[in-house]
Amino acid sequence: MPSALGGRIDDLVRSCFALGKEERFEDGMESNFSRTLLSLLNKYGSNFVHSLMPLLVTKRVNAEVAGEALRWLGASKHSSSHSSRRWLLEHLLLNSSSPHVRDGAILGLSFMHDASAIPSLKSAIEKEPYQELKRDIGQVLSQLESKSQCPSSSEKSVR
Amino acid sequence: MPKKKLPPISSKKVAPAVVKSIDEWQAAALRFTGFPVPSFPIGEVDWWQKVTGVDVELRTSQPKKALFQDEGNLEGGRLTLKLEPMRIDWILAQTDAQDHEVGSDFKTVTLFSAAQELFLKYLSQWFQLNLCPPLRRLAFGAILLHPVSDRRTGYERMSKFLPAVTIDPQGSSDFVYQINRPRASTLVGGEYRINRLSKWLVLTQGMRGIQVGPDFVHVVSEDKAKFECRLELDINTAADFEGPFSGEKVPGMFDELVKLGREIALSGPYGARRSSRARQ
Repeated sequence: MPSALGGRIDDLVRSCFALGKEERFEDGMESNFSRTLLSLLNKYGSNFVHSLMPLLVTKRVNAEVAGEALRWLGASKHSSSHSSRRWLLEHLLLNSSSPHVRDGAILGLSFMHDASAIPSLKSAIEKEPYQELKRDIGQVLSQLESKSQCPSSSEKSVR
Repeated sequence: MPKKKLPPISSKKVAPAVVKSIDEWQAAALRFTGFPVPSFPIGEVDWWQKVTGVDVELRTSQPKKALFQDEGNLEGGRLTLKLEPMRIDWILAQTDAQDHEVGSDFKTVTLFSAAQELFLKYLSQWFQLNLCPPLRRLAFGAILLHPVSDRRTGYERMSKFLPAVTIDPQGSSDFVYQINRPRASTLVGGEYRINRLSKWLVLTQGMRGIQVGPDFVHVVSEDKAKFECRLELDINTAADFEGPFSGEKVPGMFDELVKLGREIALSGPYGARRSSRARQ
């Protein structure tokens, strides 16, 4: 990604999360934050997800806002960013120390209906300390194992 | 829509080479890229030191961006390890000494074979030490150069690699040709696709010395322009097949990607098909 574009997207990401910090989220309801997030995703695709990753991976955002972001990232139908969004959700499910973040990742993965996430979900259920989240992971696993849907994305260049 | 079946890779169908030796190409850079599985934790690693047996020369950490880089000069090349979310890169490129040499020729590590040998020596160590994590995708990249006397000679040389394209070597400039010729791998049951991207161009380089004053700019010296044929390779496993590939499988897979890159450097992107058509 050209550095000028990357810098601009980084600024937009920070602004978006600053917005989220001021909002109160209601389960399943859109918000200014979610609308902004999805608008940026639709405009910038995987570049936006890549800009988002360091922020979420290095825990530089409020955990509740991060969890909300993951939920909406999973719910999005933006096709070209599907693979990078799924990687991010799986990575945070397996590596985040915050239960809010893991909860958001589980919900996001449940919306993606992608059986490729099954191995990560199986690993996650083994190590999840919270029973409620363990149950949620189990439900998503059952859902995916019975449906086994697997949308694909194509990226030819690795530069 | 049913997927079009891709022709398998077969060494028996490799076309006669356009160049006599792979070492007609100089390697400006060679790259291994791996996309780790989501369980791979992001952070600093000690791979560079373990693989080379010497201390890192320069470590760059940007924790807020989850970016980590170790690098140093080794045996005529500069080896760099870069880690970021979703990506691991090993790169062998020019050394610092060549960087700062005024008026030096094109920046190269060495001839392709020697660069490849050096690069694979360190990668093999990484594999053998079981440091390579499971990957969902991998790639081989290269920037190859061949100095020529002028642009026309460069285009004439490139025409031999690109018989499907008509280039007017005298009346053309700024020509760039990029193509992907995917193939099915011989590994993983043949259902696994490899993208073979190549980019072909002729570059011009020159240096000028300028004197700048409060109200003037003078060109005080100017080197003769230099030309080179440039081939950029990106041979990668297709994104719609996500493994995961265990650390044990990766070396064999990477060997296959390197082999495909060499074939393009020797015979061009059309290689076998064009040759078989020409024989008819």
